[in-house]
Amino acid sequence: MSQNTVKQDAGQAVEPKFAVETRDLRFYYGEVQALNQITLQIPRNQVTAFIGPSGCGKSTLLRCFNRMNDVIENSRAIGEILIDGEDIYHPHVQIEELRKKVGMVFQKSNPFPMSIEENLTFGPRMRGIRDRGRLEQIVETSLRRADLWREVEDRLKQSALALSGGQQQRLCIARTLANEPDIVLMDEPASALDPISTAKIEETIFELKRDYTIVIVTHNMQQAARCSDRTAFFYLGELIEVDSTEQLFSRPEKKQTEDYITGKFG
Amino acid sequence: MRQGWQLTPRVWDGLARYFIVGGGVTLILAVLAILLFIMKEALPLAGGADVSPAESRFPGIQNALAAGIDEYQEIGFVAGSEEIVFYRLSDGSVVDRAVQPSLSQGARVAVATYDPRTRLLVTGSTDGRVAVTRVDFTVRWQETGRVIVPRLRAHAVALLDSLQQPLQQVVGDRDEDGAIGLATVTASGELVYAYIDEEGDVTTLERLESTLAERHPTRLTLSLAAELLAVGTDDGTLYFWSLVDAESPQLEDHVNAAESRIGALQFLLGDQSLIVGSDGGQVSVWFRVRYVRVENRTAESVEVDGVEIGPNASHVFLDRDYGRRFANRPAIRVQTAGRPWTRVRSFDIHTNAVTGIAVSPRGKGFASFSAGGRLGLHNSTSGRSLNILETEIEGVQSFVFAPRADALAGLDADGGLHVWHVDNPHPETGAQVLFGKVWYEGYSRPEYVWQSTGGTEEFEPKLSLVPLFVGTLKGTLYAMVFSIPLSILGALYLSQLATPGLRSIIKPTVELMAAVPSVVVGFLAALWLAPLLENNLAPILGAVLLLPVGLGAAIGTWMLLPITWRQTARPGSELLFMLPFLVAAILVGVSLGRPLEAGLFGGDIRQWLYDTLAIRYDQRNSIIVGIALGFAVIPIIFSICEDAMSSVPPSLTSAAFALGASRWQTALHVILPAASPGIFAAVMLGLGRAIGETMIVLMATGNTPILDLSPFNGMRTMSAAIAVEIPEAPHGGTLYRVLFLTGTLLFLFTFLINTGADVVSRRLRKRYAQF
Repeated sequence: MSQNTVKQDAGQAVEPKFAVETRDLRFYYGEVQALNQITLQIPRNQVTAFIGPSGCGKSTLLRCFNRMNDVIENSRAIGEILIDGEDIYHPHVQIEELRKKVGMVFQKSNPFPMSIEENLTFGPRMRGIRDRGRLEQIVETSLRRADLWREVEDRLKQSALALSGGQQQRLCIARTLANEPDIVLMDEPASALDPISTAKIEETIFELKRDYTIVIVTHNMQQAARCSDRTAFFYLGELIEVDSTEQLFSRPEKKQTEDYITGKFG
Repeated sequence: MRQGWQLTPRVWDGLARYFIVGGGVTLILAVLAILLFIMKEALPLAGGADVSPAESRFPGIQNALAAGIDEYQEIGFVAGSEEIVFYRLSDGSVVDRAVQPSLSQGARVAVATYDPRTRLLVTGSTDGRVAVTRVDFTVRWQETGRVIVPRLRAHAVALLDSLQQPLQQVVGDRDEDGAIGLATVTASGELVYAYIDEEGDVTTLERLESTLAERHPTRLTLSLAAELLAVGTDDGTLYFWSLVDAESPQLEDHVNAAESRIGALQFLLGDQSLIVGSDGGQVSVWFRVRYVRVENRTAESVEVDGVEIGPNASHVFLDRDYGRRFANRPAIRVQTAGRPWTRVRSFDIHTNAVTGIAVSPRGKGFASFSAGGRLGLHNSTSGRSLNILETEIEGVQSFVFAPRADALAGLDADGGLHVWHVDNPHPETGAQVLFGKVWYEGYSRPEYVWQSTGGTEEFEPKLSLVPLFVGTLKGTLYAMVFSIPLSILGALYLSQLATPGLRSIIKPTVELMAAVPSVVVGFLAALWLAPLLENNLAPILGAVLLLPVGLGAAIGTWMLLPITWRQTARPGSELLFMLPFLVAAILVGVSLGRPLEAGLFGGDIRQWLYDTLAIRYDQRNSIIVGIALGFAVIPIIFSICEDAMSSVPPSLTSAAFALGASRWQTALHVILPAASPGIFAAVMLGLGRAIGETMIVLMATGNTPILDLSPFNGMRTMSAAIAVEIPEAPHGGTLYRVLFLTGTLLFLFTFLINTGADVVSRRLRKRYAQF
């Protein structure tokens, strides 16, 4: 049982071994329960993919990690989410600090209607970094990490909206990296992109693994298979199975998982 | 199958298209038509004046001395040394002849003047007598139509030169009681002044010659109901005698008015301005200007306009409102130092000696004639020469206007009568009058003044549009200062921070404000808010000053609350939390206001403002206007801003939140820039509304056309000026057209603002185009 294997690691989080750890997490939109008793560990510096059919709660779980669900009225989370061993729903947690540490890339690219440079320096500026040299450094570093530097280095002052869709999404990744997060959450980052752009994004994700913990929600099982180290399968608000990607795709323990990855439903 | 015409969708489409295009085009045409109509009404202001010689020729008479025309331009007359000849102006024929009345045996008339305003013909005879005759033109209606019958009424005769020598100069003026003042220059060059009562008896006879020294009087003129005598001399010096006390005339002033002999001298309508024409060709306008003595009674020096006045010293200045400026400093006394005659402007169109000046019986216009035959038509207020006509006449004497100022009459050297038709519908305007500083009669310097109507016909209309323009900008400025921060911050709160429930209440409520008729807003502002603010200035000021303190206290207390409480608070409840603090702040401010006023401001803050800062507090002031006009503008700006902010895509807000931005940072750095085209358009629409708003400013501003940006006094806006004055402006008159010009400017002003707003808005929208 996968839940048993999960429980083996639980409880010994004195020196937190996992980047994210949820314990018995339940999540409600008003009266509707979206997540039921999720207990999951996400290891550091790995890519973890969340797969599952639409409405299975994978995006909700992802949005719990940086508390983006907070803005939704009447929503509430019960249980614990530990990031670096600290409960992020504790009242003393500064939500802005949390989101700085846990960056997020959205399904649809959403650059600000500003210049490329301003997009990248937005996060640092909001945290009070004013030094021009340092900001320039951040711009270059994050663009290089998102593999966009060579394409835009000569037009940093131009509007970000002039970039192509794939470039915009990589800009959004770079913008998240400019905040120097520990964890990067990606909510179907390539679903709106063409195959070439998708390949580039996947390449970028692969590169980023060394420095960041990445959690990626995807509908695309090939993508999960290609770029993740571990995969979690969700169904109807429940975590069905989590394992190394290779294991999960080749020898799923659960029937539902097998049915899903073989395309019997979804 | 049905044959023929059918309403297919295609036909419907075509019909709808033509209907819509037709509607749009009609709308544009209607707006253009309005603009064209307004401009058409204002356009005649730009037209000049026309002077054209009449075609009729009149047989000259011997020794012609004075001339005049009747009101309808039918009859003209020439007074000669022995007879008065009346001509029909249309054909030049002689209508009537009359012997010069009141002549003694063997005497002839040596000198004569005719004043179309008093209709008095004053003649001086070769035996030293002065006769006053009224020239009446009575209108009779016969079967053939209107007939003008000239009639002479001998008024009085007085012997003014006891030596019975021919008189050289003679003038007369009538006072309110019907008595007549006369002034003459006798053969020996003496100045003699006399007063004749209604019965024709001489009550006063005085000589004034002693002070003239070696100078010889060349021209006389009497004004102010014969209480002021101006005398021009052969070396260009002007003398002024006050005849208020007829028994003892006082020499009031003498100035060097020209470099050569004064050949023409006339008072303008209103008896304030004197026109001086000299043999050198100069024509200048003079009036009295007030000088004040500023006396420093303090122990230290005071600097006034760059002049250092030592302790207990004084300095004389041209008056620049010093009385008001130092009204709050009793130790600095301001007294009138004198009102000397001052050259205000000159008209340099003549090169030869000016021989005649005719003064318009309507307005501040006059005409001048010089020896070369040049005729100039001028307006004193505008300082413009409206028309210059070269004639073939060597020079005229007895140059007069017709009573309606629509014709000029003059006598040439051979005694021939010449008549010119004058078409001068708007003499008192011009770019300088409308947009520049003008030195008006009785003022001590050129100023921008709007004072379009006065009590008398002699009033000098002051038609500077600058105070109205500045008033409009001032009202708009205060309204925007009040409404822009409130609307934008309100919209930001409502769109980003407020709960949907709160939003569904507040937004329609604010939009409902727009439905309040502006006359109601103006009425409340003028009759409720203005007195309220005036009587409770200190408490209200106290409340306004303490409000931020209350806000700060609320936030401070909120931060001190346990974090768990704050986390569990429902969004929007912070408003409820703040409310008691704000109410407390207002209550404390109001209750502190009175004691503070008593303690710090001597019991009356308005008096204190006036005493220490020389700021006058008017009841209807810019604060009131700002609030009232702001009230009208807020719904517009608020509603459009809120829409713009709400339509910023949530993905942008999410992006900002995900990057760790707080709500406030997101609002400021993401929402505001992204909504800026909408916000800009909202502000511009509000601005347009504020500029054009009439009823509120009409009721709440006090309508004082003053040039002052102080928040404590009112203004008159362009729209209010049109609303107030168009009912009393005679159709087709100058004021009427100036008001239409004001309307045109207002139209163009709003048009420019809207166009500019649209251009900027488009640019911004392009910048924030696709999300």
